[in-house]
Amino acid sequence: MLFIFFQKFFISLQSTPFCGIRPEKTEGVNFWCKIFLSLSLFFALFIFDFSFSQAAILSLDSGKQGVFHQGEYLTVGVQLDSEKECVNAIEALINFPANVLEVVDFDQSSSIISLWAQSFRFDQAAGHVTFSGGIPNGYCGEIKGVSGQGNLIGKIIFKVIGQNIGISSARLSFGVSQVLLNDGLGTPAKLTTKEAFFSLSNDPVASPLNPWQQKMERDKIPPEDFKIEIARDSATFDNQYFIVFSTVDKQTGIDYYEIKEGLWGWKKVTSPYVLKNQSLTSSIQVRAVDKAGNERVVNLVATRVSILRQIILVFVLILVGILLLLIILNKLRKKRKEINV
Amino acid sequence: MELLLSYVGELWIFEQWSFRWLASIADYFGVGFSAIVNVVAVVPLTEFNQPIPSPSGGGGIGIGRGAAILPDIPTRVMLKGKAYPDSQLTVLKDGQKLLTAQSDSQANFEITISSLVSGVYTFGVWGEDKQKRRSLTFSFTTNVPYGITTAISGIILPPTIDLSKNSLQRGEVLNLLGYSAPQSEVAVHINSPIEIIKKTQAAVDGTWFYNFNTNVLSDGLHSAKVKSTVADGSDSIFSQSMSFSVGQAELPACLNKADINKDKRVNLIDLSILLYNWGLPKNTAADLNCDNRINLKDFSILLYWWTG
Repeated sequence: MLFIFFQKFFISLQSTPFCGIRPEKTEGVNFWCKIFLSLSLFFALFIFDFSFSQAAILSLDSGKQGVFHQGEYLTVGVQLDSEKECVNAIEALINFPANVLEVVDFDQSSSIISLWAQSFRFDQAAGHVTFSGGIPNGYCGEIKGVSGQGNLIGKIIFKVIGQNIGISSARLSFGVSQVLLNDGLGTPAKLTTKEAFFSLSNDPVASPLNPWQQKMERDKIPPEDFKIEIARDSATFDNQYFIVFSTVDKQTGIDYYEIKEGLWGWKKVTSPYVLKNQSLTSSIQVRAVDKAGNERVVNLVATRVSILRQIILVFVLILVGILLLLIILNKLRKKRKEINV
Repeated sequence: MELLLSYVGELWIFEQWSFRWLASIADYFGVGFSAIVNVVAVVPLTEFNQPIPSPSGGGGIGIGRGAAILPDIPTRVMLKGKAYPDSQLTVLKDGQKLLTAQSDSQANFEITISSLVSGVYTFGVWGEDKQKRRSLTFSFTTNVPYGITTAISGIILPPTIDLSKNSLQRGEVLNLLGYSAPQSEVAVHINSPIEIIKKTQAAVDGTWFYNFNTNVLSDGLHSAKVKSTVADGSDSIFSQSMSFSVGQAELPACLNKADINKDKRVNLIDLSILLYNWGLPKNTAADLNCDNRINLKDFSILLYWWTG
């Protein structure tokens, strides 16, 4: 595109009085003029191309045109175009008009982001959503498949609210956002953001369709399998043992995680989680639950045996030993009796 | 680099072998597989009507909210490419270590990933050469459709790289070495005010070697990285960058490395330590770029070095 632009620019310049048809100038001057212009444009192209080569575009798209009525649901996709560069971290703030749009949920099921530094959060009163996350080893653009989008960060589901809004438009735009290159230095990519406008009407819809609700109702597949890892670091959590875990759900996304440590009950947690039982004698279960309520439970068997269990084990072994000894003694006694008889 | 994506359909209406045959022809001629892709569109199942994949590896138990009695059509991804001869490969799925595999004596590998559901995935492959040097992870993102095998071919792992010394006097020879695909062309890039590019060829066993005379460099800090080009013209991404100093210059204390807990892996544990220290670092090891703050830049550096 850039090349075509400069090519056209070059042709148009050649036809200008400066360097093109100037009958009073000789052929030689015209030739050097062209050379000068060509070199200038070559360097201009080089500088222009270089300055825009490490770019990324964040955009918003609903995939639907027309007017959204009061009560209707509006799904806005947040997309990333890395412009053939490799990027790996994204931080975004998206502003929305809080008086006419209400955040319902965030659909991260088709997200290219698999690790979240800060999961999706929204402030309805302030009218903005924020998130930050990344792609391990980078995202260099999608290898085109047969279905779906491979450039989606997530979809924000809004509901059109508000009275007496008349026919107006809602503007969604990016606030302070950044995309970083996958270069091992965290260099910011030159970022372009594209805002979106939606036409709204306060004529209510009788029975508004909720595609997000329908999607959740159809989802029967649990989150992907995952592993629990135990770790300890002298400078983290006061050197206490903690566990890490992460998974994804390709249909509706992960809603929350729960943990069950030994005899304690289930409780909602996030990774990393500092273990209650630092002696590592309890088995651990982590349950990943998706937005539709499907769940996957992963077990981690206790790595050590508790002192109580050790005592019981020793006690049982002693009992078995005594029992065996008694049986042997009894048999010996019977044999002696037989010999004596 | 160019990656070829093709599909091996496994629908009831066609014999499996015919799809494989067509896919291999398409692969041979380096063309897409659009005809078959179009056939896939007739599958009368939505993305939600997929059988629940059986638990694997970690032994997790999946509980869906309903039961759909449907034919068990595998959704798979096949990865094909070149690494180093007889090297150990690790495959990542969405950043998590999925499986390990081995390349053959010609450095070729072909790995099939099963038990997938349809959706957007980021797959990564990294290799370890015979000297236990690790490559950077090559990763790509694609949308995996239900019920067919998505084949990604043309993956060329970046060469491994090592330096004989990290500090040299001007005029000393720096030996750069590592592994690459056999007989591939290895381009050595020396970072200097003007980048110096030298080329060498990997041997039949995949080893590559270059003697670089530092006479042409000024005193100070420099770095070297390499990329390879195989016989069909496909090239790899760059290897990691290795720093070295010439003259009196000292190597920087901050190396922008990401193995915070020093377990030779960069994974969720390192990420957890980084997030724990987010903002002002309590643990300086988590401040990967040594700017006394832990933020998205450190997160980005960690993701660059991610091994799963």
